[in-house]
This record gives sequence, structure tokens and C-alpha cells, in this order.
Amino acid sequence: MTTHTEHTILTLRNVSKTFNTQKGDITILQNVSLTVSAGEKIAIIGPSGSGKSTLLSLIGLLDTPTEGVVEVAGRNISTLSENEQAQFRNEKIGFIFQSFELITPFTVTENVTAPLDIGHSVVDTKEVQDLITHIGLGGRSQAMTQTLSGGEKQRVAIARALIRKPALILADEPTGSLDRATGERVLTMLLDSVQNSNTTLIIITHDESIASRMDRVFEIKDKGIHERS
Amino acid sequence: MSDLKLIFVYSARIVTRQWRTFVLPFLSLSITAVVLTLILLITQASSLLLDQQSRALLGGDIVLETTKPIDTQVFWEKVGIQPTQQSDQLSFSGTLQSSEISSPFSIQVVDDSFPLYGEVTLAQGTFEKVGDSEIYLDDAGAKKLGVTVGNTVTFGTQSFTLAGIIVSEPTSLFGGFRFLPRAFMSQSGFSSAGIDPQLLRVEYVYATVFPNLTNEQIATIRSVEESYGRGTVHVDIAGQDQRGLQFGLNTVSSFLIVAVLMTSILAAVNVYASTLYLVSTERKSLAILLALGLPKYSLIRMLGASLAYIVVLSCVVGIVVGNGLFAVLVSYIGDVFRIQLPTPHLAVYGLITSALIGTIATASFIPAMIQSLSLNPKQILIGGEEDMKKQTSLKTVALISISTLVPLIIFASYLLESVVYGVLTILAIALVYIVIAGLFSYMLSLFYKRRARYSFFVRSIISQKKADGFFGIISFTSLFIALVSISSLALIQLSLQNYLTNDLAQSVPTTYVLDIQPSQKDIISERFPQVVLYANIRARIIAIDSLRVQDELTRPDSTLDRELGREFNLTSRNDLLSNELITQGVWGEGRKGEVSVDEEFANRASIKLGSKLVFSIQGFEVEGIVTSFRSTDSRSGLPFFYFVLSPQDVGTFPSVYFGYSYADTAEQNALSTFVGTEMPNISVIDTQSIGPQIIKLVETLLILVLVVTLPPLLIATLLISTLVISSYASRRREGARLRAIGATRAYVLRHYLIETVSLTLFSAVISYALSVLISYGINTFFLKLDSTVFFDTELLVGLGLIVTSIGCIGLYLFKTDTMPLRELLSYESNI
Repeated sequence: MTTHTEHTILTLRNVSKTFNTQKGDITILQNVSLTVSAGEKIAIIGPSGSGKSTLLSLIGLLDTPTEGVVEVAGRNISTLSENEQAQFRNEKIGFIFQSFELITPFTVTENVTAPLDIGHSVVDTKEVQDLITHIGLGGRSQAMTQTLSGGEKQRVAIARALIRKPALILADEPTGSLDRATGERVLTMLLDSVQNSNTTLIIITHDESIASRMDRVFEIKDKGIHERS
Repeated sequence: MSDLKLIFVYSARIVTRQWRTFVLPFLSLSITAVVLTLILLITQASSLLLDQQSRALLGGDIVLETTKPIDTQVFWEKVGIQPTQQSDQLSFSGTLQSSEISSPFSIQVVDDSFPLYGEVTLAQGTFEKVGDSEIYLDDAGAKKLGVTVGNTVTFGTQSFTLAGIIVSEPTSLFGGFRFLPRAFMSQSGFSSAGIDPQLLRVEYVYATVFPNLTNEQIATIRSVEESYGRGTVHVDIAGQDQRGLQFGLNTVSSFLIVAVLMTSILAAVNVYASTLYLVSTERKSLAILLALGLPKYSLIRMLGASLAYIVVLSCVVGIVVGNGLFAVLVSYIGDVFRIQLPTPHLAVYGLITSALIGTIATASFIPAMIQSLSLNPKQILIGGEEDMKKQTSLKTVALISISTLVPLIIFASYLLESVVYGVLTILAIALVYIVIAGLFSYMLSLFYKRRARYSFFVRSIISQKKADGFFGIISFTSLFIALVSISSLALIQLSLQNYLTNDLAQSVPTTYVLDIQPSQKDIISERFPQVVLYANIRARIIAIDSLRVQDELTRPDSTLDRELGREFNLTSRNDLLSNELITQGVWGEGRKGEVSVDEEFANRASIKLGSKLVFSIQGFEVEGIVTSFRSTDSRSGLPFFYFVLSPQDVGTFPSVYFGYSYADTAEQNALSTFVGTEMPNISVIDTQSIGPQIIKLVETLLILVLVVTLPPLLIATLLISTLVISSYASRRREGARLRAIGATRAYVLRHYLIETVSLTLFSAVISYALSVLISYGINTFFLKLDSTVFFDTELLVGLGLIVTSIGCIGLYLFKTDTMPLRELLSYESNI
């Protein structure tokens, strides 16, 4: 099922990324072009080393392209300074990582509100508590993250990614560290959450069953990207 | 949340929830703050004491000292000022007697004005003045003679009543260390004793009061002093000339500053290691914050704020404890030495301590800051390829080194009051550190490359040490330096103690007899033939061949050794002593016109065989040709003279005699009783009592130096402990893997414990071995001791305790780890 919106949230035009390593220059992506509309759910699939993570880091403003243009929410990110990129990331993009990557010294609530704190936004305590309850951790909002199971950690990560109602959520193998049943629950929660908020979701995955639940699937191969029909 | 609030809230969370990471920096900075506070307060209090009580310590505003009486009226007329008050005193050594015991004393004859400043404190009662038939003794003297207040003490044939026991008098600190106990008698009391001052080696002291001296007057005084001729009149001015005590305080200050610098550098290393460790272990959390939009600058401020909490807490703890220790010390010094140390401005020195601690912390934080700037969230969180860093490693190392050293140099320059010394001291310490760290690192790499040759057990230890990385190298180096310092000092002290109590005690004469006048010599020889006597003639060198020594020394551009201008003690005899050896030439056997010179001195003074020496003795010139060089074993305790002349050349000159004897206690007592009654100007010294005094003095000095090295040792041990604790997470996983392939828990424990203590044990063994070599070198070539102590039980026990304590920490961590094997081997890491 596809939810189609009129606005373009992400555009990649002839994007290339080359790394200068000890072994010499390595081109990971070459002339990649891509357009994603707001509210779409996208899966990016490909073999190991194909450039999925590189593509994700370019979209997420964690890296800059060697060539080409990356536009997120209408802004050409290459023109942004480092601080502007940080601010943009805070406001527009949410991350969910395979290894959860919660902030170790923080509680569940503190992890969820971190994007608001960093963005100097007002924290609506009720809204935060409602979100934590929605992800099933209402009774553990003050727990330290080390005491959580894998599934619980990933749910906290989802809540953290959603708290600022970002335009775009980037998920790198979000169920990769979870067992099948837990992964299924987490994925369902993620998909429901983005559906309700009309947030664009881009998932990196190896799992064809996950990819099949997305609106569009792109495959990275031979330094390029093409959409599966 | 505002930016500032974000910084403080997040940094507080890090500190409170990752507090284990901050324990080491907190303890290190606290110890440094304690040491710094204590030392700043001690040195400032001592300086204040000297400033505020300089007059009392000196005994007057201006004090003249001469070996012959002078007309002070003439002196002051030349200066153009007159003192408002003057106290004339004599100082000499002589023998006092009680009913049973005779003993040498340092005797001070004072007038009614004494003391001009300060107070004399008695054990009981109040001191007003010394009465005509009264005598006052210090506590050591009273104990020596076995007398109490009211008992009779005789000097020569004159009896005095012990009127009081002096606990402290104002000038007692100024003269420095004294072997002899002190006695005070009045001018009239001394006169009534009927002793001719010419028989005594007297120092005449004229203490004066000049309330408002100007710089011009001081300059005039100095020039009048010079006009009297070298060595005739010595002038001390309060606040300007502070010999023994000031020198002692300066020496103590230097040692204490070394302690502070070593402690500070180690504290800086610990803070550096801990902050780097924090950035390393929390890099994912920090990367997340960056990924969530936190600017790097804010991240650095957040980490800096975390450290700032620790700095503030350390300063508070350190300053409070330091002030407490200072109060205890002031009370102790007041009770034992009756000296009231003034209290400096505590708030000012608290601020200075805080500023210096902040400087250390800032210097140590810079590398962590640089590391934070290089955090790459993409690489940490997502992975993949990374752009190669251009050859910046050397530049980064240089930047880190310079940015860390500069604040430490500023810190050292402040303490040492000299930029040059500050730079040299820090660079010297850094160089020692680098050399040792480099050697250790090289050895480790060498063993690591060859690890395949060793057993699994040894290989895993080597690999673990390699994995400890920079932290491990720093830990080893810190502990090694501290242990070498303490071990060397302990072994040297023990060797010195052994030498003084055993070796020297066997060879040194039991008795020295001082200040025997020519008129007394024959009587002493007749009554006590076992006493060997030597003439002691005061002389100056006028010429060595064509070189006119005294004239040469007056030239401003003279490069001549200034020691050649002083008065020397000459002697004359026909025979060599048992501790002397002719190294060149021929012994003169008392032939007229021949001189024998000490070989070392001859080399220093460029005196050769055949050189003609001219001496000035009591206004007369005496010549001699150098016919032999001697070497003297000074450890024998027999008299040592640079120059030995013929009795035919100097026998007619009046001289004081010095004697020694191997008399037993009974003979010694008989001699003491005789001179106490008949010749009280003579002092009979029991040499066996000097040894313990020297040992006590050496012990006090070495205790001070040991105290100096204790804080660095403590911090170094803390560093090793933190290494053990911080590496436990990876070690427990390693242990889990071993158990997964069949190792028992006991095997894993044994393996882990040996790994844990290996660095400390290695450091202890190598440092002890090096300390043995260092102490041997110092003892043999510098102190010239007969033997070196190689085993110090207390030291070995101390080293063992350090190794054991590290092992106990490891054992505790292992035993309290209850995580099941399944969880240890799971994908999720739970620290």
C-alpha cells in the first residue's frame, strides 16, 4: 500500500562519494539520483559494502558528497556550515541505528528528550510521557538504558527519533540486533508511528520481508541505485 | 533548555552517573591540592616568620660579630649613626660541671639588655635577666649534666645556680644546627670565673637596635665593614642577612616545590588519561549527541564542565584538608619548638591553589578536547570507509605536548619564581618521563613481536599489556619513577645509618679535645698521655709561586677560587698519621722549609710539587716548598689538614691545640672532670654522641625528602588501580571466552590475577634493582661509604604491599562479578 504526497522531501542529483584511503581513492557511490516524497516509506537494499551506509550518512548530513547535490526538505545541505547541518539534523532528521545507540548515562526519558534539549525546545512533559507510554515503557521512564532489553532499547530509540516530529527518519537495520518476534513488534510500532505522523521513513535492510512492506524499494548495486518495480 | 543550562545539566549527569571514571582525577587533583596548599602555607608562613621576627631571630636590628673585641663607638661614628640600644655578648665553647658530670657547652655571656627583641621562654617561671651568680641551660644541657633548677653548675672554679631551663630563646633558630647544648651566664658571672678570654675561641657579638634604617645607612655600614678588612668584622642586618635559617628554609622550599611539581605532573597525567578514557568509552554516546545536532563546541564545553565539577570539588577538599594539616603542623611546631608560625592569608592561598589546580586540569584536558573534535559520528555509528587523515599525527602529538606543557611551565615558573628554572624543571621531568616510557614501550613491543616463542600464559600477559596501550605505559612510568625515588632514598639512608653506627663507630676516636691553649698543652700531655695533640694555626695563603692570592682575589674579574682567600688551619708535625698516604713526592719528616699539601686541594689550587707557598700567620710571612702530596682517609675521624708544615717553621707561633683519644668511658670522664675544674675553656667531645645526632639530622632531612615522594607514589598507585578497574570490562569478556572453551573459573582467576599484578610487580622489581645501583653509586662515589645496604626489609615489605593491594583490587572485582557466563558472552555489552 502506498501513501503518496505531493511534496518532495529528499532529492539526490548525480551524487558521488569517493573516499581517500590508505589503499587509494575508493568510489562508493557514483552518479546516484533519487527523489523521495514526504510521507513515503522507502527501503534501500543491497549487499554488504555496496554503499548503503554511505548513502544513509549523506542523507542524514553526517557526511558530504564528493560530487552532486543532496537536498533535504528543500535545502541543499552542501551549502550549510557544520553548525547549520547540526541544527538541521536536530530539527528535520531522526536516526535509528542497528545497535540502538542510546546515550549510556541517560535514563529513558532523558534519551527521548535529548533532541528537544539540544534544539533548545520546550519539553512538554505530558507529550513525552505519552510517547514513552505509547512505546510500552510507561512504567520505566526513569530506568537507565543499561537495564533495558534489546527490544526496549530500540523502542526508546524510535521514540527519540520521533519526539521532534522530524520530516525524515533514517533507520539503519533497525531490527538487525533483535530476534524475529521482537523485531516484528518493533517494526510494526515504527511503521504505525510514521504512518500516523506522515513522516518519511528510509530503512536500510537486508530483509526482503521488511522491504516488501515499504512503499518503494531501491537497490544499490555497482555504485549506483535503481528502483525495483 | 538554554545552551548554558544544557551544558551544565548534561555534564552533571555524566559526572554523577559515570562517577567511577572521575574517581582517579578527583583523588589526584585533591592530593595535589592538599600538597600545594600545605606547601604554599608553610613557605609563606616561614617567610612571614623571618620577616616579622627577623630582628628577634637575629638578636637585633644590626649585629656585629668579631673574633677580637672592637670599639663599637668608633664603628658607629664611621657609619654616622648611633644605636638606641646595644647588647654586648660573648659566645664560646667550654666545659661546665655538675656534681657528677662534665660536659662541653656552647656558652653565651649576655648583659642585662638581652634579649633586645623577642622573649626567652623558660620551662617554669619568667625570664627577666641573668643574675650575677646565675646560669641558664637549655633542656638538653640540663639533662646532660643531670641538674634541675636550683642545682649548682660550675665553670672553672666559679659556681653558679641553675636559675632556669630555657625552652626557647629568640636567636636559637638563626644559628642553625648545634651539636653542643647551650648555657647563658651574665658578664659579671663570667668575669668572676676568672677565665682569660684569650684562652677561649671567643666570638664577640654586639647586638644593636636601630628602628629605622635607610638604604643609604645600610650601604654605609657595608662599606665600613669592608674597611675593617676581610674577616675582621662581620655585619648582619635584620631582614637582609639570614644565613642558617634562611638557607635551611630555601632548601626545604626547593624540596617541597619538587614534590609539588612531581605530584602535579602525575595528577595532570591522571586527569589526561581519565578524560581520554571517558571520551573513548563514551564515544558512542558523544557521537549520538553530535548526530542529534549538538555542535562540537558545545560538546567540548560539556566535557570541560564535567571536569570543572571535579576541579571545584578537589579544590574544596584539598584546601580544607591542606589547611587542616597546616593547623596541625603549626600546633606541633608551637608545642615542640616553641615557635609560633604566623598564619598567611588563607583565602589568598586558597585562590592561588585553586588557580593552579585549574591550570593543571586545563592542561590535561586539551588532549581530550582535541580527541573530541576528531569524533566522527558517521564512522562511530554507521561505519564504512573513512577518509584517510593526512599526516597530522606528528603535528597532533606536538600540539598536545606543547599545550599540556605550557601551563605546567607557567605553574612551575610561579612556584620557582623563575621562568628559566620553570622551563628547565618541567622539561627535565618530562624528559625523564619520556625516556622511561619510551624504553618500556620499546621493550613491550620487542616482547610482543616475539610472543609466539612463549607459553600461552605469558603470551596473553604480554598481549594484555600491549592492549593496555598508552594508559598502561603512563601507569608503569609513573609508578616506576615514584618507586625508584623512594627506594633509592631508603637504601641510601640505611647505608648512611649503617656507616655511622657501625663502620665509623669502629674507627673514629672516642674523644675529641678542643681549644687547648699553648700554656695548657704540656699539662694535658702529662696528665693524659693517651691524648694525641696537634697544633692548629690560623693562616692565610699570601702567594702560590708568583701568584699573589689575596691581591688577585680583590680584582673584580678574578677567576681564582675564592676559597683560597679564606683562613686555613695549618698544623706542624714530624710524622705521617695512620690515615695519611703520600701520593707524590717525599714526606719531609719535619724538615725546615718543607710543606705537605692535600692532593685534592693541590689539584684544585693548581699547586705543584716544588711550588713555593707563602702564608701569613699572625702578621708574619712563612714560606715553604711543596715536597709532597698526601691523601687522607677522612672516614677515620682523625684530624684533617690541607697543609702540614715543619715544627721548625711554625713551632714558635702561638696556636691552639686539638687532640683526640681512643679513651674509654672512665678515662673520658676523668679528662672531662679535670678540664671542667682546671681548664674550663677546653671542650671534651664524646664522638659517640655525635653519630646519633648526625643520624637524627639525616633522618629528619630524608624524612622530608621521603614525604616529598609519597604523594607521587600515591597518585601512581591510584593510576595503576584505575587501569585495573577500567580494563576489567574487557578482561571479564576474555575470561568468559576462556571458560567457554573449557577453562575453569580457578584457571581464569589465576590468569587474571597474574595479569593484573604483572605491571606493578615488574615495576617494583626493576625499580628496586635500579635503586640498588643508584644507591651504590651515590654511596661509593659521592658519600664514600665503605658499604651499601642492598636489602631493606621495610622497603621490600612496602613494595610487596603495593603489589598486593593491586592484586586485592583485582580479586575484589573478580569475586564480586556475578554476571552469568551466558550474559558475558552475549552480543549486548553491559558495562
